[in-house]
Amino acid sequence: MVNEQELVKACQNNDRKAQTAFYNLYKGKLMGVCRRYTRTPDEAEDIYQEAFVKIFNSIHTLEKAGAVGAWVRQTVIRTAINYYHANLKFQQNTDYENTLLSNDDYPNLLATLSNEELLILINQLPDGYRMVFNLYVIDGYSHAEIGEMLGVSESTSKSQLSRAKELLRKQLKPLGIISYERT
Amino acid sequence: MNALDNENDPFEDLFRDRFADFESEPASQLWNKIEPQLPVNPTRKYPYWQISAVALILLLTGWAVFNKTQILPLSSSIMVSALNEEASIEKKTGKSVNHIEKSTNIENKNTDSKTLMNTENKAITTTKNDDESKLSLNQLVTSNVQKKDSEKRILGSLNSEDVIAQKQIKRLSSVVSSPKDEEETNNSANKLASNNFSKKYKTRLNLLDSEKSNQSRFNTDKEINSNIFSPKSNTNSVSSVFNIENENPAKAINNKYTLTILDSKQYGLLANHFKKPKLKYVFVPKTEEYFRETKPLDVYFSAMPLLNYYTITPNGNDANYVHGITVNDDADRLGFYTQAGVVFTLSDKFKLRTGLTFTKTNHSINYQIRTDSLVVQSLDNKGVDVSFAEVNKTYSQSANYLGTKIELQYILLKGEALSHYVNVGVEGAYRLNGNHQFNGFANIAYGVTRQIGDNAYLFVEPTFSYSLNQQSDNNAFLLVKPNKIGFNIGVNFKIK
Repeated sequence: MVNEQELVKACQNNDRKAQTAFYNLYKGKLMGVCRRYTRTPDEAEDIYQEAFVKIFNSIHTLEKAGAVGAWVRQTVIRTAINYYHANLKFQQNTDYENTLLSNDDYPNLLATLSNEELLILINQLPDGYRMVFNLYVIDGYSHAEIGEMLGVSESTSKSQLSRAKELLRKQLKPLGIISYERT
Repeated sequence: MNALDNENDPFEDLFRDRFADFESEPASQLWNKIEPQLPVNPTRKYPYWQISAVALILLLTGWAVFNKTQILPLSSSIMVSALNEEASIEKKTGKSVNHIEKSTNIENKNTDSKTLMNTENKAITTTKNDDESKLSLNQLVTSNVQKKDSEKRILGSLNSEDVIAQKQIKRLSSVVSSPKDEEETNNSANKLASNNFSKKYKTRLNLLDSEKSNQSRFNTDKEINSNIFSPKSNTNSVSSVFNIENENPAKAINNKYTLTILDSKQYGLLANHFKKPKLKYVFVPKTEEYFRETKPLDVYFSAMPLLNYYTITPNGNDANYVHGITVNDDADRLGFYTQAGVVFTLSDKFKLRTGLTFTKTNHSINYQIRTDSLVVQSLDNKGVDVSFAEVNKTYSQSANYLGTKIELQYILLKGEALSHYVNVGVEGAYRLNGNHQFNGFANIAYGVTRQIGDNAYLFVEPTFSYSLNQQSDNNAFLLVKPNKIGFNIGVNFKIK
């Protein structure tokens, strides 16, 4: 396998083969990120494309090739945030109650839910909640950072996270999932 | 970002565990949509057709100049004289042949002149008597008759000369006053006359020899021709032409190798068939053409301060992120351009100028980037931080180029003191520092020259140089065409 740093260097020289290899290396991970931050797969694909174009166009700015994994992830997240900002005015408040799952056949353990099933829950969160939940819980940003990124105050970020978790619990409760201890 | 701080809630932990490394396979056609939007290697952005055009022009010019040097037109006067010489030799030979043939006919009836012949002539007469019986196509006999006839003509003329000489003696003797000295004077006059006679006779004998040689040369030429064009006897005859030359001429004549009297000056008839080799005797100095008054070769050098005028385009998909582009309007835009080369005068109106150039340019362009995912800092290698403020950037560099140019100069006005012209040309420049980019330029200039010495001209030439391809900064955020404008000042020297 080609050294990741060499791959980055080749991409910085706009080597098309290296760009293809780089894409194949990161496509799964980055699509995973896109899926979390968006409501639908179509939106995810839009962000995904835009993010990759950005990555290849600005990979020259990457000073430390060793940090490339974190950097590409950041780029995708930033693209998703831009997308969120751009579409903010068109978004409407979701009727939370309608989004609740109602399938009584679901097992009572969260662990038994597949990633895709859990992803649906995240996708169905209101946009602001979903952004904060992803940024804080999964991607590990602090509330201060999230406030800056989303253009909101730190306390808004905290309250939105709290509401997002509450909403998820509400959605899981009808499924019989009340225990969130690690298995 | 510090993920550790966020690991308090087991509910969050569950999601974090599930999605921290969550992957999802994208649709395969997505790459096909992304790929066309990717930047290509700047080194492949070279405008190949422009490079090809420049190369072609240089090649054609070089070829034209080379040809001009090689195929020097022969001086017309030399050509004419060469042709005249040749024609006269031919004419003369032909005439003498006719004359000889004619004389031969007359000879048969003329008996008076025979009595004047000396012993040598008698021998010939004997031959002539033989000839009378078979005055015919026999070439050898004809030749003898002709020879004899020639000699006879000369002797005839000698007789008349003699009469003139005697008349002169008489005149001389009448001039002398003392009758005593008359006899002595007569004697001395006789001596003078006899000297005169012998001199003239000698001259005539020489002429006779020369006519002989003309005749034999005629035969020679005929023989050479027949030898050359009839493969049968080729080897012997040709070798005899060149080998027997130094042997006894008399023997050679006896053996019919009359070719031996050929010398280097008598190539006229031969040259009829070998005109091309003959040309090598015509010496025309090769370099003369360029140094003639009308087509001088000049060398020139010039220097110009220049100012860069950029055409700046934000690069491709980053157009949304790069903005606020401004060019620093201070001394950073100033550069320097120097060149040296040669000027070929093509005609009264056109000149071709080609040479080497050195350019030093300075760029300084400010621009701003929205920091979306573009500025990443990793302070401790544990995490990556993103800055979201607008970042001011400066694309600043100093570039040195070595190039070559070719320009066509059209002279609009040619006055006593000043000449005005327009220059149009192309230039290829290779960047010596940095990314070693190749840049093509189209140059246009208006120039004025003034003579400042016998062989020197000063010229001033406001020049605009348009960049044919774009440069890219290191971040590929900007595409820049480094056009330049300058005031070229230089000197032309005419080479003598």
